[in-house]
Amino acid sequence: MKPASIQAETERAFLAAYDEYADGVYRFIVSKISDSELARDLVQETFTRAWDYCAKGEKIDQWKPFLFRTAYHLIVDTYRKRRTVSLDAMEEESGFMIPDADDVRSVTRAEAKRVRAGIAKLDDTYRDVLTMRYTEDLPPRDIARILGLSENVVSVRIHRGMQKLRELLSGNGKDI
Amino acid sequence: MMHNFFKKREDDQELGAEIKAAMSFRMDDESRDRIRERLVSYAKMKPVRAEQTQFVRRSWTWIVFHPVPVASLILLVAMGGTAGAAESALPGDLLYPIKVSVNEEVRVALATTPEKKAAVAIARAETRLAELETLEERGDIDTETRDEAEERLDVQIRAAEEQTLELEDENGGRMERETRFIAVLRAHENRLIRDRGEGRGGSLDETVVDAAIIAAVPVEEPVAAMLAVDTTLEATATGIAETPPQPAAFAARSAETAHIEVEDAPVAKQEASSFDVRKVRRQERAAEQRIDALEKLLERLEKRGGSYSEARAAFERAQEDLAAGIEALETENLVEASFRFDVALKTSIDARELLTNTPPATPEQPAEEKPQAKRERKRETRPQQAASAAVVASSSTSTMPEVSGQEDEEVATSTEKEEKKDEGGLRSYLNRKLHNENGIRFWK
Repeated sequence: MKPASIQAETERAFLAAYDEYADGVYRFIVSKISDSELARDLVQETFTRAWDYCAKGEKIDQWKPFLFRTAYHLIVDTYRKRRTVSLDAMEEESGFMIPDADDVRSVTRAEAKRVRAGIAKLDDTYRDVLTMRYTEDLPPRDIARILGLSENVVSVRIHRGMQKLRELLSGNGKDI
Repeated sequence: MMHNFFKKREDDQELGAEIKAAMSFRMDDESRDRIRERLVSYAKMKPVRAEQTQFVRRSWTWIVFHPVPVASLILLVAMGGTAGAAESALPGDLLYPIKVSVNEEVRVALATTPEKKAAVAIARAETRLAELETLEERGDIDTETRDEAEERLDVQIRAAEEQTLELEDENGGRMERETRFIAVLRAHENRLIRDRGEGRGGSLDETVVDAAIIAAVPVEEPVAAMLAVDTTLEATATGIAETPPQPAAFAARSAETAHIEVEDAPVAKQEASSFDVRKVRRQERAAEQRIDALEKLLERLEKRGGSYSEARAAFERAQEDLAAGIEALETENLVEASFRFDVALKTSIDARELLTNTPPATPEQPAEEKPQAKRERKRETRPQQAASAAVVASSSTSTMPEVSGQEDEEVATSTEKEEKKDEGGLRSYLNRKLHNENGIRFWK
């Protein structure tokens, strides 16, 4: 392959990854820092780092786990301390949309709000794996890679996270 | 227990869907587009810098799986400039074995697809031929070197043939390959003429012109190709006669010219589709040039004491047809003229081939009467083509589709015997294919 086309090829793959995963990365970041402005910056930073990696001549085969891992590290490094998740509050903010996609149709707006509140109340440990697993459809193996955990630990966390969320959403969560 | 398990899984899926729905927000389009733009600029600003590394890495991986050329490659690298210098080596030179056994073998090993293999094989045959031509041109070739060179040429032509046959099932590029291949064979044929003939003279030019022109002419458009060749010859004939031949440069130039002409061919082809005067005049010129070349060759050969009665007879028939064609042209009988010129051309090609394949008859045999001079031809406006060299080139592409049926018949009766002299299956193979696919023949 000619050198010129390596650049073009990498660029193409990179932008395709952006088009496909930018929203997922954004969701993931928002679920952890609940600051849409910062979240957008971090999305940009995530992809910038991904490109840096490519520019060194490395090849990214699986963009999704790579991007989520990068985003995760960014969040952990910079915003570990932040802990004010208020997804509902962000709903009205600009740069934050609830699409009327098929996903939403089956769930009423009220229900969605209730679930979001439940997720917000979850501990990071569980919220991360649940959003990655169910919102982004990442398999436990990839989540394990992103979080630097073993697959078993991830599976256990998903399991427990679901239990906890259920508890929060049922009668126990009166305070929601 | 089981029930609980499934129940639980169902619950999980349901809750999972709820999570997804609750969380299925996304960035606003404006922000997404803005970030995308920034990333595009960023990627341009900071290009992938390890391209070289990647390339090398890939190359080395590749080599691991292709062990054959490794030794040669290492040798090449180790020798550096030597390999480059060897490129121009000729048989008998110190570096010649490197050229053939290292440089070219690497090329062979690097050719991965059948098409590339065929191209390399043909290029090798062409190189062998060019070497031989160059040596003979210099005049410093001894018998042993020549024998070896011819042996190598034979080997390479055969290899090229095999590789070309490999292409049989593939459509793309096949014709082009074969056309080039034919150019090699044609050049080979001309070299043989010279060997049997007088050794030097215009035949090197012929070889080169033939090869170059045929190589540049797409088989698909024989008529247009012929026109292009004619034009090329007109343009270059004088130059050939006056300056000593520079085989490679000249071949390239001719090929280029012919190619350019062929690119203009749609127009020419249109013209040729009917019997218009210009087209028939081109035919006339082609036949005339061919006959001139034949005459010169005949005279040279006969001067050396041989007798070539059959070829001489064919030559005279060709002249008669040419004369008849000119007559028909003057009475504006274009169809007849075109046919006559075509027959004249074909006959002279056949005669030339006769010379190629016939050893000189015994000297005791009385020489045939002198040919009817072409001065008999009535039209003095005709330009004298200076070099016999260039004259021959249009031969193989000039058979006109419109009249090929009739012509084949006539030629077949006059040269039936010679058909049996076909060397090997090569020509008949090419003829079969080309004839079937294009309605034309390159050799009888």
